[in-house]
Amino acid sequence: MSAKPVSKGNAIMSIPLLFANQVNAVVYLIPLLAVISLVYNATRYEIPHVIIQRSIRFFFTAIIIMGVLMTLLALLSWNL
Amino acid sequence: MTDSQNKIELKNPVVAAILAFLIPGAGHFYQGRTFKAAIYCFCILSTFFCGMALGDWKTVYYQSEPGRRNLGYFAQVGVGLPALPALIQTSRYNKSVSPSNLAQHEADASYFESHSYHEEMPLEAPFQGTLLDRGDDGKNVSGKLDGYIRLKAVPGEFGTEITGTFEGTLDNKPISALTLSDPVGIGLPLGGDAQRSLECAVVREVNGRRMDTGHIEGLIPRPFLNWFEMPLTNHELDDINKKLGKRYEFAVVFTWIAGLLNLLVIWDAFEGPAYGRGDEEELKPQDKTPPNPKS
Repeated sequence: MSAKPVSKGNAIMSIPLLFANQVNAVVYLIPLLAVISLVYNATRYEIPHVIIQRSIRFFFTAIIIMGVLMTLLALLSWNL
Repeated sequence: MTDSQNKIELKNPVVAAILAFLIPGAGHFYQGRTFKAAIYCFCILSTFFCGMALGDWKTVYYQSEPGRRNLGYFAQVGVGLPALPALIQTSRYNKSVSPSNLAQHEADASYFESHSYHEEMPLEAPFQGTLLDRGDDGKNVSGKLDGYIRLKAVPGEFGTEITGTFEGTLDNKPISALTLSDPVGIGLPLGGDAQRSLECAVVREVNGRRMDTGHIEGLIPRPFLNWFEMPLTNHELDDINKKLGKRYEFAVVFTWIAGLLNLLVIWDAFEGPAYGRGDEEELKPQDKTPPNPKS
């Protein structure tokens, strides 16, 4: 079986669909990350406001790191 | 032991750890650390039950058959009581499926012939399925059935026979009761799905003779205790993956993470927090400057 050639127009059209598919996954991952950051930091500290403060910092740090990695992977796989 | 116990009252750490294992947050509640207890209880239980709900309540089960053992359960069991029924259910399931049937049908417990359904008679249950039959006028009748099924065992010419009726609707229109008879196939009473399959023949009086004119097939519900956290067969696992796709994988990961997070919580109940001693405060900028030796 020969693979059907994909025109450049089709490839560009598929990118939003690919992104939409990934957004679907993010919907599940964001609350999961919030829970992980809250529980993890609660096991490290005792004072409530310290736990909250550290959890927020942990959450946004993880979001930024994952965003950078996702962007990097998207760039590396560009036009593949 | 760390210095944490100097500031935090851990009471009996072993009791706290056991309570933390059984119900996330219960150990901390026992120690009087209510803020952390609330965080753990809400976060871990909500993650675990969200995972179960996302996966149609089929994400937590323990399969003990060699070669089919699911190691993921050892992460899920960290959540304690909500995951422990899976062990009892596995034991019940293994007792109900005989080894000879396992070998013969590759442990596909939904296989009709794998148990004696005569023991379950009389059977009364809601039924949803399809009908394929030849009506009294000789025309083919087919459609979706929704109603109630009643089956019972009666002594027949060649031993015990199954007979019964279906009452309900065909394609949402009321129909006269169908008379049912052998051959009957019913899925196992225990299984990972909330419903089990049932099929049986439809009989009618044709020219004064009782004739098999068609059959019905569909699903009847299992009681909650007969499917909750019950091991999934290969067939059921394929079905749920086909139905939910990636969502099922996320659901399983949710339950794993909930169980693994509770391990940290158990350790916190036993030993206290990793760094905080109960007296830690965020250092203010002026506090970070080294103290003046002359002062």
